[in-house]
Amino acid sequence: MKKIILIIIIFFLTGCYDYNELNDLEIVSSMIVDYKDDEYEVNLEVINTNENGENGSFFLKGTGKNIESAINNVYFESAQTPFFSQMKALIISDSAAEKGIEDFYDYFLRSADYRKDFYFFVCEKVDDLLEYKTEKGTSIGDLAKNNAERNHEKNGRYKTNNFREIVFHYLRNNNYLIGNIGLDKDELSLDDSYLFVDGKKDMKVERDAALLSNLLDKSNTSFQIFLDNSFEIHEYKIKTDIKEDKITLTLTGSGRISNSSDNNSLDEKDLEKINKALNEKIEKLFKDVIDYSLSMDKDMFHFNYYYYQHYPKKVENDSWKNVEYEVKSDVKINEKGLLLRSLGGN
Amino acid sequence: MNTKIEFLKLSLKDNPDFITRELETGTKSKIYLAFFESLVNSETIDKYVVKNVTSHLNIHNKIKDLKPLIGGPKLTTIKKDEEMFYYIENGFTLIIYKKECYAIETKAELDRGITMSQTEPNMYGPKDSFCENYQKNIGVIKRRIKNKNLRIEAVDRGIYTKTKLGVIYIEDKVNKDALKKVKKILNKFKDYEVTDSHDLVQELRTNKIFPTILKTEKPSMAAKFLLKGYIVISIDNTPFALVIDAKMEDFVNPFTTDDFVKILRFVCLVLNILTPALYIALINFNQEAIPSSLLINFSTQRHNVPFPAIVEAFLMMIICELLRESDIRFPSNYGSSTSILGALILGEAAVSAGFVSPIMIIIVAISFVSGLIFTDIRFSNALRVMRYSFLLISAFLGLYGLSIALITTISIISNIKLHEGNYL
Repeated sequence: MKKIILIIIIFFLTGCYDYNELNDLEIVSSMIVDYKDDEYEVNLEVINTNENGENGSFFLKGTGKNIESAINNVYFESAQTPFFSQMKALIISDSAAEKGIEDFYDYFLRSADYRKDFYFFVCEKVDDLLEYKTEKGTSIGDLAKNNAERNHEKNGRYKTNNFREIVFHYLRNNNYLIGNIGLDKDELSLDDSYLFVDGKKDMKVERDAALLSNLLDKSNTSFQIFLDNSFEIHEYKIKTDIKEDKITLTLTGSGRISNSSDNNSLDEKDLEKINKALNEKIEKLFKDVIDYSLSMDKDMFHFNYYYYQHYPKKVENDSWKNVEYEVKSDVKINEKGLLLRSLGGN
Repeated sequence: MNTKIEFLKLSLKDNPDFITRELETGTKSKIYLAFFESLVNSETIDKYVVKNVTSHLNIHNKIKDLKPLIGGPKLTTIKKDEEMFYYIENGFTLIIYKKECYAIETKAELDRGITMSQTEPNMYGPKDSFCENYQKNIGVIKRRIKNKNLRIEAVDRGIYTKTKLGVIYIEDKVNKDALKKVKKILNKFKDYEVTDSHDLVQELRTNKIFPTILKTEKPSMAAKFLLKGYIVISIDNTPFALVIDAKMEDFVNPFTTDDFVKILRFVCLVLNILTPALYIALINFNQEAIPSSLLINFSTQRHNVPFPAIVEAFLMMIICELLRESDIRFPSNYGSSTSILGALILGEAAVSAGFVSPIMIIIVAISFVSGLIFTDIRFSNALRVMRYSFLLISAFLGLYGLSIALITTISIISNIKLHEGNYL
């Protein structure tokens, strides 16, 4: 009898914590934040689950002196409870990015309502984005996430950071890149990434810089290089050899010539020549972006952090500028031509 | 008149099917035949006794010694008057002459013979099944195990029913301690009436929720279990044999040897118990664990449903239980129509009326279809208890509660003891 009473007590005293009926939830797909007149304006993009609705999502707006109060004000607009665990993207405006994103770290790290793997984007024209009508079954959050992941994974020239990764760099005082998103001909599109220094938007960087940043973070599995031929480099490894006065980056990997049909007649010598040209191109590409980083006086690839890991006692804020950089590429082309031809077909 | 036949007539006067017949012997004494008309085959009496006596009389005019004239394979000399009742009630014919009394087996075929298995059909295995005749049931087992170590200990149970039980085991394979315990229990309840195998299950089971005694209709299964060292009990008038101390695995995989099917059946077990509970836990408490597109689908489907998900789940499951119960109890001719009616109610009408969401039908259907794999009704009942308990606890505590319930259930099952050995 005691056991039964205990079980009943457990049910009635502890049960139903965090209970939410699915009908009472508004599934938030993305959050678009603007900063105007010393106030944050938070727009929650909510998935439209009503079968009769035309668009895939709609927005709920709230403003406040800080992010939390702005989000609390959103609740006044809705009869249902916003559900943040499925949030895919946090898109902040230019002005919010210039103000600095420390407030965001603080709010999202404290709150248990969010998963910490949503993607972080900057958008130059937030108002246009708020006018964007998504089709049924899609949302800006979904489109942004899918687009960024595909570009990040396929050509490697778009820097996609989720919230957790950005916090990781921020806590180490590293500079980091955040992807830029906008509308191009009424379609959601990705643009060059922004460099963030000390948690504030600093400058726009070209796509090759995003590529090197991705390689150094080992966050993608393949990337593309364009010469006369197109190459896809996969199974790559990048080794950073840090000496006191020299940092050497060595890239190894396998390459594939993507535009296959013209290359069936390549002999060994031709292939060797193409391979050499490819490696030279990669070396030049990365050397250029490192030089660009040096010329802009911005440690885009957090070399100072690498330096610190090896020489913690000698490191200073500008140690990364006083070392020599060398880039070596040893990518081997092991796939060429049409697959059928290489198997002996016609 | 003979005192024995007087005594019988007096004792059995209220039985209209009790018949006595007199045969002349050419002397003063007569031969009396006594039997129950409803239990005997009159042709057998005629063949074994009447014909022999009359033909002997035709030649010799009188009978000096009766015993050599009685034919038939089973002839017993009765010494005590009380024994007469036992034999006559078991379909024997009593032959009384002077002070001698013999019982000859003349049982009528009151059973339906060996037919195909109804509850455990199988595609390629043997098709025969047990019937209501104890001797036939023993026979079909003996036909499979031809070894002197096969022991059959017959026990009569009950004061009124005198049901014959056969405790069957293989001497050199059976666990002796378990056998001792089972016999002790059977002796303890020897005056209790047994009309069905269910009465015996109540006595021999070691757990009230999870069945520890497997019922099988197939002699091949019984033989298989005997060879594994299990004790099997065959009961007169019952077409099911009881396998004592069956483990949980024997209920989940009673006959399969195919590894893939074994895994499949185990998956079904898990699906049957957990699907509704997991669904309720996920959509009410742990929505973050559902992929976005699926969550949006769920949300869209549930948009116009007026009930909370847990009420919806209980409604659907109870409707399914009702359908299942009516399907089992209804004559088979009506059975299919209830299924169709049920499918209509559950499928089309309930969804279009906004009574339940389509996903709930899928969830309940998965759970029920998985449950159909387990044919043992008591095991299905145990699964049902688990299913509802899990559903209730996940409605209160979500995934956290479900994990607690799962751990507790596994602990409880691990703790179930058989007469010898463990259940799990």
